[in-house]
Amino acid sequence: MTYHPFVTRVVPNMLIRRERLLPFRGEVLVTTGQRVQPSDIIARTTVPSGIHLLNVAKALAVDSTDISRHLRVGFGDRVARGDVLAAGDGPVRLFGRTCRSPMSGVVAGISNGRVLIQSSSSTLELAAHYRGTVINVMSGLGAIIEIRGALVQGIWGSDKEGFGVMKLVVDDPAEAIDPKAIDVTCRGTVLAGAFSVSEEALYRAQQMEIQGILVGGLDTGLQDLVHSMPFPVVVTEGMGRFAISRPIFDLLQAHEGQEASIRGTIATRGGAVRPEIIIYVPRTDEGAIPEARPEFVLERGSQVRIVRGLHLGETGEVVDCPLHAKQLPTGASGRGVEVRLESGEEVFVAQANVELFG
Amino acid sequence: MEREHELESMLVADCGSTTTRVALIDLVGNEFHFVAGAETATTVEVPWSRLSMGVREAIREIERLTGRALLGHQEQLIVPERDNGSGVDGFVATLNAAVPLRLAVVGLIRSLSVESLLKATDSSYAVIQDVVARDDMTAERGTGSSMQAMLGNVLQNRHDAILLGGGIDGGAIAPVLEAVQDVATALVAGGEAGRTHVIFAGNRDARPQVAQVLGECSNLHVVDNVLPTLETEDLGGAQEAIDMLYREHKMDRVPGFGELKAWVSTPVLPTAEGFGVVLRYLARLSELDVLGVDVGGVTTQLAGVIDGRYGSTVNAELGVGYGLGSILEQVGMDSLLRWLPFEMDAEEAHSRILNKALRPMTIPETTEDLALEQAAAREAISLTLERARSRWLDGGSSLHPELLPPVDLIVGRGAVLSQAPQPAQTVLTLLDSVQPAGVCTLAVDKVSVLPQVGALASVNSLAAAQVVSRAGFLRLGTVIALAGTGREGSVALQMKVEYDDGQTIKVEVPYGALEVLPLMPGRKAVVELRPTSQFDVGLGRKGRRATTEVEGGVVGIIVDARGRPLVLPGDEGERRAKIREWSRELGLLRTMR
Repeated sequence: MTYHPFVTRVVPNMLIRRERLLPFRGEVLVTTGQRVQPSDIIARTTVPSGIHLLNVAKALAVDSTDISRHLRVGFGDRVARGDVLAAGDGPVRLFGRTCRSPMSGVVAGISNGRVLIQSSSSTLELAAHYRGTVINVMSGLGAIIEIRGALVQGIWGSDKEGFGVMKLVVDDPAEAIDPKAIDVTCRGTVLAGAFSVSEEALYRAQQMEIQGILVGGLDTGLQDLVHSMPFPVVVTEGMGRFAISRPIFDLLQAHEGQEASIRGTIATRGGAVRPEIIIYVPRTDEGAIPEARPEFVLERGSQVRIVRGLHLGETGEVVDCPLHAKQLPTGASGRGVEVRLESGEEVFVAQANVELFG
Repeated sequence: MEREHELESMLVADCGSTTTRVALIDLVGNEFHFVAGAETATTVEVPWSRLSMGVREAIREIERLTGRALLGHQEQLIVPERDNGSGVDGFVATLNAAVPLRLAVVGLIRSLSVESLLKATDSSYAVIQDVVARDDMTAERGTGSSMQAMLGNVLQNRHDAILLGGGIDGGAIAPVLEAVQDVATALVAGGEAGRTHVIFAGNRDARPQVAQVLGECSNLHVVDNVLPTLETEDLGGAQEAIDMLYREHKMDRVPGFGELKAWVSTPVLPTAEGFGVVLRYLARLSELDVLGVDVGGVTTQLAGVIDGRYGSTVNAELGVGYGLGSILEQVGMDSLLRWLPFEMDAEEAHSRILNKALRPMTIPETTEDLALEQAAAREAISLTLERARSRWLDGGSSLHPELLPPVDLIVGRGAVLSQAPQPAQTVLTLLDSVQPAGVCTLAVDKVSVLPQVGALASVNSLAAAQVVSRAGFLRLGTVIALAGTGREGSVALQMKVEYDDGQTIKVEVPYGALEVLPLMPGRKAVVELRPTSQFDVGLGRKGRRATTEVEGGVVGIIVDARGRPLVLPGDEGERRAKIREWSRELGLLRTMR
C-alpha cells in the first residue's frame, strides 16, 4: 500500500509563500510587488470591544421607524458618558424624554431604533513578519508574501512571532539551555537547538528580549508560562524532553548567525498551520525549490522520525516495508515499517507512527 | 464493454478527522457482501490538503487485496463495473473531516425556547459559541452581558450562523422581535463583509417582520418554530437548516471534497447522519431499543432509538485525537488517570495526551498509551451521555434515575472501540462509561462500515440491509448488569446457565465483581437470574428471579455486579487493584503492565 506519511518540512533552500491575513476586514497597506521587511506593517484593522446596545426607541417610547428625527448622534460620532443620544419631542431639559450614553465611546451602529456604542477599541496592526516580496494582495484582508530561505517546521508553538539573528545555544541537541548562557550577546536573537528549556531560562530570555526559542521538547507544566512570554517558543519533537532531531539540528547549525523569522502559530484543523522557523539564507535565488504539497511516500531508504511508542523521538532509516500487518506490543496488529535507528538497532514501527523529513 | 448500469457493486467510504476507511461491497450470488476494506490517514490537513488522496490510497489497497482494478485513467474511479470485473457501479461516502459550524443561539426564555434551540443543534457538527437568553438579561438596559458579548462576536465575524427563536406560534411577537432587532443592529454595524447566516426558528407570526428586519443584513433562513406550543417541540426545520449550512459551508470547503463529490452516487452524508440512519434501521428491523456510541478523533456521538424515539447528540469537539485537549480541559487529568490499572505520573500522562493530540493519526504502541486513550474514550462517552441525557435521553431508567434507560443493543464504533486489540477492552470501556443496567447485547462496527451503509441505504436499501445483518457488527457478548449497591464480596446474583448443548453451570457473583462466562458467537443459552434483595437486573422487581435467553459473542456472557451507578474506590491503591481485578477477569491482564 502506498502510504503518504505525515511530513515535517526541513528544507535548506526554498521558495516559500505565506498568507498574512487580518482576523477580520480592515485596510491593506502594501501593494503587489512591494518588498517588505519583517517589521513593516502590511495591514491594520480596528478591534471593537466593550459593545453596548441601547434600545433608544424603547427608552423614548417612540416607534423604531420614527427614530431618525429623534437622534442627536450619527454613525461614527464620538460620545461621552451622559451625552444625549436621542431625545423625545419638547425641550430636553424641561419635558422631553432623553436617552443618554451610559459610557464614552463611538457610535458603531444605528438601526432598528437601537444605537450600538463601542466603548473601546484597539488597533490591530499586522506586520509582514517575513522578509520578502508581496505577490498577491487580498483586498481588506492581507497579502501573500514570497520568501526565500530555509524552512523548519515544528509541532507545537506558543502563538507569537519573532525575528532576529538565529543563535545556537548548545553544541549538542541533547543539552538543555543553560540559563547562564543567555547573556547580553543573545539580546534580540532567536535561540535554537536545545533539548528543552527551563523556567529560569524563560525568564532570562525575557530579560534579554529574546525574539524566540526553538527547542526539541517542552515540559507540559511550562505551557502557561511559555504562553505568557512575549516571544514564541517552537517545539520540534513533542511535549516532554526530546533532543532536536539530527536533520533539524544540522540545518540549524549550518545557518547559525543568519536572520530568521520564527512563528509559534498552531492550528490543528481546518487549514492547519504549523509552527515554523524560516532562516534567511544568503544568495538563495538559485536552486530554491518552490514549496509544494509533498508527495513523499514511505519506502525503503526513507529517513524517518518515530513519533509514538517506545522509540518516540528517535530517527532512522526505513529498511523494510512488509506487506502484511504485524503484531504491536499492545496486541493490536497493524501495517508498519522496519526502521534502523541511529544506534543500529532495527525495530518495527506502525506506519502511522513515523514521519518523514522532506 | 460496459455492463448494463445496476448498483450491484459499490465502494463505500468514510472520511473521519484522522482516518479514512473504504470498503468494497458486492453482489455474491444473490446477496450483497462486504468483500474487503482498507484504511489510511485522512489527508485533509497540511501537508496533504487533499481529501481524495487518502481515499485513493485506501482504494488502491482494496485493489491489492482483491486483485480488482478500481481506479482507471488519471486515477479516476472506474464506474460502472465492467464485464472484466474492474470498477464498481457506485460510490457512496460519509464525512466528518470538516470543522464544525460555529453557532450563536439566541432565544427568549432559557428553559423554553433556548433549551429547544440547543436541542436542535445537538445532532449536528456544531460548536455553540454564545448562548443568549433574554430572560437572563439585566432589567435596566434591556440587554445582558451575554447579549453584549455575542454582539461583539458578531462584529468580529466569529459565527457561521445565528440560530434565533422565541415565542410560541400565536403568541405575542414583540419579545422575539426585540431580540431580532438587537441582532440586526449588530449585523448592520458589521456590514456586508461579515454577512452571517441567521436561522429564524421562532414564533411563525413574526416572520414578515423578521424578514423585513433581517432580510437585508443577513442570509436569512426561516424555518418552523422549534417550540410551536408550550407542550410541543418541532426541531426538524432548524436541524435541517443547520445541517444544510454545515454541508454547504464546511463539508463543501474541505480541500479535495469536489473530487469526492464527482464520484458519489448520492450526496455525501455527515458521518453522524449515516450512523443515525443505520441505528434507526437496526431498531426497526429488530424491534429493539438500540444505542450507538461513536468515539472518533475529534467527535463523539451518542445516538439511538429508545421507546421508538430517535435521538442523537454529537459532541463536535471531544475525541481521542484532536479532541483530547477538550476532554482534558473538561474533566481534568485525575479523571483520566483513575481508569488506569497502573500508576502514571500526571506530567507524563499530560505529555502523552498532548503528543497524541498533536499527531492524532498515530496509534498506541505501548500498553500505557493504549490505556490512556481508552480512559479518554470513557470520559468522552460519559460527557456526551451527560449532554444527551439533558436533551433526549431524558427520563432515566426505572432501575435508577441516574442511569441510562434500558437498551437491548449497544453498538460501538470508532477505532478506539472497534479496533481495540482485545474485544474485552471495548467491553470494559463501554461498561465503565455507558453503565448499562439490566440485560443487553454489546457489539462493535468491526469493519467500520455502518455510517457508509447508512448513506448506501438511499441508493440500494437491500445492499444496506444485507451488509448490516452480515458484516455490520461484531457481537461482543451479552451483559447482565446489576443495579443497586451492596456489601463488597457479598452475593449479589445467583445464576444458572443452560447452554444450547444441554450443559448447565451455576454461578454465584459477589457484589463488586465482573465475571465472564463463555458463550461463543452464534450460540445461545438460557440464564436464570436470582439477584439478592438489593439488586435488580431489570427483568422484574428487585430480588425477583427471572429467566431470559441470551446470545453469545467473542467475549461471552459478562456479568457486571459492580453496582450502578458505578463507584470507583477513592483510595488510589485500592482503585488500581480493583481495575486490575476486573481486567484479569476479562482476560486483559497479560496485555497490561
